[in-house]
Amino acid sequence: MSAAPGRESGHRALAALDIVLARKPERDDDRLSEATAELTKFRDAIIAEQRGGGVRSANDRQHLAHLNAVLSVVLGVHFPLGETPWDELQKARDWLSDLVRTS
Amino acid sequence: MALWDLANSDCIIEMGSNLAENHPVGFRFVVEAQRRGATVIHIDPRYTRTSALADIYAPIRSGSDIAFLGGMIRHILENDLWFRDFALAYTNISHIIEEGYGDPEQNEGLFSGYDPVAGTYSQDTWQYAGKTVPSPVAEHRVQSQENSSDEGAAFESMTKSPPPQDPTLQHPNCVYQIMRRHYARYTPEMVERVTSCPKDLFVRITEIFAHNSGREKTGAFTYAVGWTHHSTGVQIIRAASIIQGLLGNIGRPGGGIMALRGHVSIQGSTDIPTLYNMLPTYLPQPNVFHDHATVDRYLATETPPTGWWSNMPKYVISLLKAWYGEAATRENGWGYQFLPKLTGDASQEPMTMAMSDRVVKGQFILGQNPAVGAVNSELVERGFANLEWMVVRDFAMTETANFWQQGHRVRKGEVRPEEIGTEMFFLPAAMPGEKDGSVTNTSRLVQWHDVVCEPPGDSRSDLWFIVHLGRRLKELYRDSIEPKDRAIQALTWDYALRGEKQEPDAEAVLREINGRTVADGKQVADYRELKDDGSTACGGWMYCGIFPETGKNLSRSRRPDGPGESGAHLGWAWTWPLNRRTLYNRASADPAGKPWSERKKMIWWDEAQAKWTGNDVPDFLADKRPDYRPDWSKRPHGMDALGGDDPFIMEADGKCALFVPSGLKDGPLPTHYEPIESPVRNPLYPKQQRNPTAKLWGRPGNELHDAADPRFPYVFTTFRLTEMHCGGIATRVMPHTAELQPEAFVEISPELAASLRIRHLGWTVISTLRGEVEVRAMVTERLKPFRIDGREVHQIGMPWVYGWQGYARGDVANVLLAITGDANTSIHSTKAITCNIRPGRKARPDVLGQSEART
Repeated sequence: MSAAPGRESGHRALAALDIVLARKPERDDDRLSEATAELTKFRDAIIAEQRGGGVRSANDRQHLAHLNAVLSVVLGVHFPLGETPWDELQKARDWLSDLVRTS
Repeated sequence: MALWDLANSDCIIEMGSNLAENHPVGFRFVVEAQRRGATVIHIDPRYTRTSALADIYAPIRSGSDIAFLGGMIRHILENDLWFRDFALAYTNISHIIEEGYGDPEQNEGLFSGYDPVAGTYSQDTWQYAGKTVPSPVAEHRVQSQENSSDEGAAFESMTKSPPPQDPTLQHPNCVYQIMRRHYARYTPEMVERVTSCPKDLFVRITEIFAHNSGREKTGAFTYAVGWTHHSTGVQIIRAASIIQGLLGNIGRPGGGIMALRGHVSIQGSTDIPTLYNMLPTYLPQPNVFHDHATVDRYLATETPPTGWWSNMPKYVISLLKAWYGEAATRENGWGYQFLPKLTGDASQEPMTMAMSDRVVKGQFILGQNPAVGAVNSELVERGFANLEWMVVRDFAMTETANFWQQGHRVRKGEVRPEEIGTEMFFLPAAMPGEKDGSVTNTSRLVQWHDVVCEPPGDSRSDLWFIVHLGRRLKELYRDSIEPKDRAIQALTWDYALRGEKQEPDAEAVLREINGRTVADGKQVADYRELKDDGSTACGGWMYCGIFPETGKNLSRSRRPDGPGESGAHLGWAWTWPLNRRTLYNRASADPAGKPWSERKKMIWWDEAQAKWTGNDVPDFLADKRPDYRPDWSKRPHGMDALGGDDPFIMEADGKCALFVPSGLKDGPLPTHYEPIESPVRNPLYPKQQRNPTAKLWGRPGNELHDAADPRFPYVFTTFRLTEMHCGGIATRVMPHTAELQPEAFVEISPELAASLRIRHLGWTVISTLRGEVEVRAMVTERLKPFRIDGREVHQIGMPWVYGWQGYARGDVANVLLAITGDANTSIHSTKAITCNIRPGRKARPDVLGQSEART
């Protein structure tokens, strides 16, 4: 499989999340905005490729679904309801790491 | 309470509302109460027509309401003005709270359980001693796990015994003693220091209200967004509810807290919600981070074991059957997995930020005009500009629909229209008279209206749009094999279409909301008939009974009571639930079931018939005797755990919660914090300036002012105008209403105008860190300088209903405001921010050469 589009954004999002997890800042931190923005670029690049006929397998669709799940968790930390889900962010970060590594 | 029940009040405090100007139809009942001898009091920063018609007007600074109401609580307690028989029997005033409870009075303005890193509270120490109390199921409930990550096991403590109580009120941790300590410093002098209301006037108001309460008399509060649009909005309303609980003004004729809703279906859009965090009729939206993986776990976690909400599974499963029909089976958890699950706060404020961050790709905007009505308008426009597409439906061009052409950033020269990539779809919408449907507003009153004339051209109703959008989505995903598309495939979407325009039958939607039995499709007449076995389908349990049989739409009913009848007007439209006009009306009778007085009777226990009866639909089990007591040896659940003298059946212990052990994110008792932006330091808690749990997003473009920032010395508030409907567009495009209020203005006191050399009708520029606006000055004695904590503080006010469209134009007040949120509701603060004002015009010209205001 060739490298997924927007993979560099995925790396940058991962780096931002690592900082967020180390610092556990209050809501709407710059790094969370950065992570969100990079994940969005990653997502949009994959969508663009798929719309351009680049879907090669069910795995590719899953790739997008997983990335959306990571984005949802990051938004849940960025704009939490009640307790900030730090443990889930750690899981999402690891999932993103796998996505970036395997894509 | 019913809107018309205000006429039965002996004293009405209008606070956080300008009832005469913004609710002129409902105001007639205040006038009627006054004609019958009631004292009407208006407490507000501005002297308005409501003030002019009141018996007493009291000025207070915006955002100081809890100091005033907390002062009332203190005065009532310390002078024994409370209705002891009512409050001892029906509230939790004698309940004993956990030993570890810590009050802001002993902790520099913070309750126990505060996590300074997360900015949130743990509610462990707020519980009744030895109990874990589930909060009533309500809007915003599923924000925290309420100690119930154990599938609700902790809540079972409520089935073992009643909460510990001390009827002598001597226990140091009973609610009475806690409240006395909590409000001890809210003296008349402190009220004056914080609010600027003269202490003698404050005491007079409190005593008038208290003396118009009790067995023979009742008083009411009325409020609107003047209370809700604060970082402490929920707690302001809570403070009023404590007063009403102490004085016995709940569940009784002429007593209550009247939430004034808007002309449009504001109440309805909460009941059958356009909100992100609720399923219809206040059922909690599942949260992916809570123990909600399956429907069984969701129900086990969220269902209170005691009180009426123990019926929640019947309502949830009936809702799933209504939405997913045959696709909802016991085997698939009634289609529960089709429901989206929350991960975070998806209310308007964070989603505005998410638009800016390009997370959100498109937006439908129906029935609102956020370019004018949403706070921090320029940030909102930036978000719009980052969307791929936008659909706006309205019957006239709105600022939201043409932000790309004439928005603030375009006029400031920051961006050109051709640089905004958002694909805009502007669709013509039918007006209210051009469509069938219902409106639910003040008093939970559901009123049906029929189409008067056909909408012109391509205009269509919102119902038409949503139904046909749904049909197209179902067609689009019909052959999909992706699991994520199953929710759309499974959705029941079989509304009959009529006529050439294929207009959906609006009554079919109401019938679906009402509910039916699955086997024969027969309408369900009463929510007590709903089941949790999939045999009933109901789109919103509180509305069950509105359409009890074929052809019988009770929201059409228009029969008022005549002379000699009770005046409850049960035949006028329909009120949820079950056409009940006053919630918790069991409290209108004493513990033995007799009316507190003949003058104030509503429902009572009829021993001969062995049932509750009276002038309203009883809000109680019809045959539950007043002397029924739970048998705690049998671990009672549901309503069996509530006594025959526990009127507040939606609470887990049936008591009015003066002290709230669960459910609030910012404390069990209302506490005065300064608004998020304030020109003064908090006189009560110098180390805790503002609500520690308020939602703040201090990103670029949304910067906040520090406390007492000398650059922004004035309090700024926004308000509506009688002549301008909702966001204004409907009346701004009409010449005959536009000329009544032709342009935006700012109200300034003569004293401030003189000190700044601003002349009446002269230009001014108002500024904050978010932006600036220019409007003409209305120099008026409606505003007076306040004296806060020993120094003069000026407040100015501006209507927020103007924009650049229509005949009546003016700068958008919401340019000045920041995106912030109350911790409980995420509602923004529009009533108390800080600003600066100067005479003159904006320095930067409008590149389009068309100022919003007339020149």
